[in-house]
Amino acid sequence: MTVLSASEHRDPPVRPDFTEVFREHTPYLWRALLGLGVRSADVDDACQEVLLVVHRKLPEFDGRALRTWLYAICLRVASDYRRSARVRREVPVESVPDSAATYGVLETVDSKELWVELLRALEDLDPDKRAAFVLYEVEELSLREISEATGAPLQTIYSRLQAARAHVGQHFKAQRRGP
Amino acid sequence: MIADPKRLFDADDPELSAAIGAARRRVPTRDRMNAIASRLAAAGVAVPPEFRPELSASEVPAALTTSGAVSKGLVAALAVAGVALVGVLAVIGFRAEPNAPSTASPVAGPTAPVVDSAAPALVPPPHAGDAVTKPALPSVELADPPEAAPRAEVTSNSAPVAPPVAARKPADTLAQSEIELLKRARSALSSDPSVSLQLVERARQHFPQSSFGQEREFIAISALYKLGRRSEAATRERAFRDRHPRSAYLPQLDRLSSGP
Repeated sequence: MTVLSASEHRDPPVRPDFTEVFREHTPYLWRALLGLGVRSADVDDACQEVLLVVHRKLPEFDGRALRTWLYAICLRVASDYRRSARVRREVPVESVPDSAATYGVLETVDSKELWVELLRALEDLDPDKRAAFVLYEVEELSLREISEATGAPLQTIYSRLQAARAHVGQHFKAQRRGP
Repeated sequence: MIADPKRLFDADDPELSAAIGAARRRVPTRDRMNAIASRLAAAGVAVPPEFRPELSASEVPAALTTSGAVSKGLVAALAVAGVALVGVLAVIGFRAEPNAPSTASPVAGPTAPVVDSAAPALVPPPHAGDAVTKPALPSVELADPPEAAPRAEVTSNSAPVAPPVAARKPADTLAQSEIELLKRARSALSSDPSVSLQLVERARQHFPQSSFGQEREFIAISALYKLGRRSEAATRERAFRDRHPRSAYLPQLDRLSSGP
C-alpha cells in the first residue's frame, strides 16, 4: 500500500482545466514572480508566459502536485527573465507593484514599507536562496515541494532556506539599527 | 528526514512576520488579471468567462448580428454592467448618509469613462470601449448573475434627490466606496464594535459581489469577539478558516479567539 504524503493529499491526481488553473492560481503565480525578482513592469508579461507554458504543457501534466508543477514553471520563467538582456537592476521602492491586496486593502503604510524592505533584502540573495525563501516563507510550499519544483536535494533546499533567512534577518536588524 | 521549520510568519520577530504577511497579501488587480486574460485570449487560449475580454461598444452589434445570439462575452459584459449599476446606486445611498465619505466621481456621460483620481493607480489608461467593458467588478460569475433584489433595497434607502447618474461607473470608484466603508468599520472596532458590525453588514448588502469579503468578515468576527458574543464569533471564525485556509488574517484571529 502506498502512503501518500501531505502534499499528495492536497493535490489529488486530477488534471485540472486550464480555466480553473487560471482562476485559482494566477494571483499566486504573479506574486511568486515578483518575489523571484521579476520587476513590476514586467510581471504581467512573465505571468502570461508562465500561463502559456501551463496551457501548452497541461495535457502532459500527470495530475499530481499541481502547485509544485506550477511553481517549477514559474522558476524557469523567472530564471530566463533574469538571463535576458532586458533585466536591469531596479530599486525596489520604485517597483511597488500596483497590486490589489484583496484582504490587505486596508493595510497600513508601515506594512507596505515592510514589504518593500523584504524585497530589498531579497535583492542581495542569489537566485537559488531567494527562491527557497520565497517559496517557503511567502508561498508556503513545504521543503519537499520546493525540492521537487527546483530539482535540488532536500538538504540543499534546507541549507538555502537557512542561509536566506539569516541574510534577511540581518538585513532587518541593520534597518532597525539605522544608518 | 528534514522537517519543515517553523515559518518566519509564525515566528517571534513581529517585523519579519509583518513583512512576510505583507508579501503574502500581494495579488494582481482585477484589471491586471483581465489584461493577462486578454492577451492569453488573443493567443488563442481559453480563459475563464469572468476574465474574458469584453466586447467593445462598437463590436456589440456585429456580435449580435453575426451569431444571432448573445455571446458569452457579451453576457459577461452585461452582467458586469448590471452589477456596476447596482453599485452606483449603492454609492448614492452612501453619499446621502451623514459623514459618508464622498469618493464617487462626478457625473459622467455614458460614453466617457470616469477615472477616479483618488483611486489607486491600478488601472491601465482607458481606451475606447472602456466605458462599457471596464467596470469589471470582482467575481461576477455567469452562472450567478446579479439579482435585482439589492437594487430595490438600495433605492429604498436612497436619499433625497439623487442627481442623474451615468449608467456606468469605473469599478475603482465603487471599490473605493466600499473601502471607505470598511475603513470606518475597522476604526470603530476599538470604540464601538456594534457600529463596526452595522457597517460591515451594510457593506455586505451593498456590495454582495465584493472583493473584500475576507476583510469584511474579519472585521465582523473581531467586532463579535469585542462585544463578548464569543459563540457567534467562533462559529463565523470556523467558517472563515474553512473558506480561507491561507488567509493572512488567521494569526490575528488566533489572538482574538484566545483572548479574554
